[in-house]
Amino acid sequence: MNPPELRPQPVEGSDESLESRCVTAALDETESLLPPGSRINREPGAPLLVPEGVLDSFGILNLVAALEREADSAAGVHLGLVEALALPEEESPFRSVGDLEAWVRRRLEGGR
Amino acid sequence: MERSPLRGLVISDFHVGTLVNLLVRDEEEPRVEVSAAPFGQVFPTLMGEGPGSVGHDFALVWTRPEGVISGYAGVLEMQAPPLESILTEVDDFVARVVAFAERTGTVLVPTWARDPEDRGFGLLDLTHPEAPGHILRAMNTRLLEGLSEVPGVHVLDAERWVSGGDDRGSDPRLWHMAKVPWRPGVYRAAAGEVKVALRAMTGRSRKLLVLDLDDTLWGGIVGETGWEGLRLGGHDPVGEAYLSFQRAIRALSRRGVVLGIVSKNEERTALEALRSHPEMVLREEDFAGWRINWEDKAGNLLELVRELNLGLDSVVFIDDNPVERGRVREALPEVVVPDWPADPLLYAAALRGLHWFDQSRLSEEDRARAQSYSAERARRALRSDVGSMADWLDRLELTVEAALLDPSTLPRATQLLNRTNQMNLSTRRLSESEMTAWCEVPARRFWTFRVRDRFGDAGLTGLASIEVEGERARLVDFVLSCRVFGRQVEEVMLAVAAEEARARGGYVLEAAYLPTERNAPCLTFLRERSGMKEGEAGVYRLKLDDPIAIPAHVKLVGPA
Repeated sequence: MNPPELRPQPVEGSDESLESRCVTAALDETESLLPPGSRINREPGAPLLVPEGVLDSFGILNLVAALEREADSAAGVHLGLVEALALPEEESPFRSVGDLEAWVRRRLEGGR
Repeated sequence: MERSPLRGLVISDFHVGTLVNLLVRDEEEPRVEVSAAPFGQVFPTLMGEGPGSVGHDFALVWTRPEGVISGYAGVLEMQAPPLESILTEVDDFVARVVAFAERTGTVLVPTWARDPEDRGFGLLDLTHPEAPGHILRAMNTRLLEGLSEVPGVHVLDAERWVSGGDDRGSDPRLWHMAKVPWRPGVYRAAAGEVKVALRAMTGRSRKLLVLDLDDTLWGGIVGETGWEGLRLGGHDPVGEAYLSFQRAIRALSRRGVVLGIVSKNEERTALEALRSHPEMVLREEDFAGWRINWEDKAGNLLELVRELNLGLDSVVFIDDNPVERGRVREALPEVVVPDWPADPLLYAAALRGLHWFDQSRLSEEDRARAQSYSAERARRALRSDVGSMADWLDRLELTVEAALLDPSTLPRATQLLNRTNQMNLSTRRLSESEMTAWCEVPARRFWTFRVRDRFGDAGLTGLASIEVEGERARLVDFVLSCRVFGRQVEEVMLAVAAEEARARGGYVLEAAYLPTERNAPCLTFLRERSGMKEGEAGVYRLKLDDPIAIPAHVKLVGPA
């Protein structure tokens, strides 16, 4: 769950927060590289990983690379998601879209 | 006709899951089903070992230079072996690809590429004998020399995929995490180019470019300014741009693309501009046909395509007017109508960027196609001058040259077999190597037919093949280009096939007609002009008691 003290950071000229924009763009790209018919559920609580979600280990790696590029390009921040791949399941940011956004938000705030 | 998806295999020394997904997701024809050979098993797969190395329609062999040429891996660590030893490795790689292609048919081989951001030796990268840039160019040149003439093998330019703009190049993150060397944009470009190559190889290239005139082929409205007032050439950037566009069109025409005009204009005024403007690059004789009037362009386009005996799926239509483009798109969805830049200075570049005319081979017949269609216009004119069909045929001075298929005619014959839809008995599609293998059986014969008349040489435009089993002979392929329809070449081809069947002891020649959406002309020939009797299940039979007469107006040369 999102820590209560963290608030989404709105992007200038947009209602969407920076982390949300980065995650959405990365999910869009990752989805475009999946097998035909595969869709990533964008609900905050929806699982990302197989078997409940659609991302296998290769899909997650594409997501990591896409998200790093987005964060680097949008905020000049290195997210360090590669290290996050090794986290135990209960701490993993890849459990759901909401967890991923919260994780990215913390990293963006730490990087600014 | 809906065709089965092509089955493909990707052989690589890196992870190609993304490319496989993109190829399968692409809904453009031809649809493909693709699998990846086991990761990193390039040489075993090329040698036919391991699962999935057989039983596909095409293969893509996409490798990193350092992944398959160990000498190049040394180059990257400043331990370059002598260039000749690296090139010997390249020759070995080429030999394995050639052997693989002989077993499996169509093989696509992208050139070796590296990250465009990699500066190598910097200023010395192209000239220093140990520099990666210098050596990679030599390797790619050797690769091209080794593969460019191999039947069924096509070399693709991967340099364009990796350095074409946003989202291209390498991503070291993906490499270190997943052994994926390239960013997704590279795989998107690669998937697009593979599909273009497959379209070309399966006869789906577009053959006819239909152009609007005012503000498309030239600047201005000829009906208002007269040809003297058009913007074309001169000391004017816009006029120069239209000239460049016409030159780009002419270059396409010399590659075998037929040109047509559909324009809302007075025909007399428009043709006068083509004939009279001193800087006009394209003249009346460069166009196979036109519809220049005030009628609906979609209807005109349909009529023109019918006149030229082509299908709508062979057409690309270019018009500066978005409303006309929308109308043609809506009315004739099979026609490709590219979005077109509003700025005429971009027209030539836009044309050169179109992939719809890509060919897998460029034959002499392709080069001469435009003249061939002009000659056809002259024939039509003669036909309207003379009285009967027989008189017209007599005056054509038609020669048909029959010859058994050989290596020199194989590329053109394969192209014709895979591109012809209308006069096609079975619409069988084969690669060059499949065709060669088919002909190796002694009971089979495969002929090519060249056609010429007083107006020109149409080139290799007909194919026929038979298979003889005891007293029964089967006509397997019967293919004739629409360019030579209506001159009784079909009767000559059938006579050649029947005579050979008879000479081999055949008592009856059978032709199994396999209907498609496009090959009704073949059925008409079988029913009305072949002399064959219709049997069950679309099989037509011809008793081979006596030789079949060759039409009197035809001079038959061969077969040897």
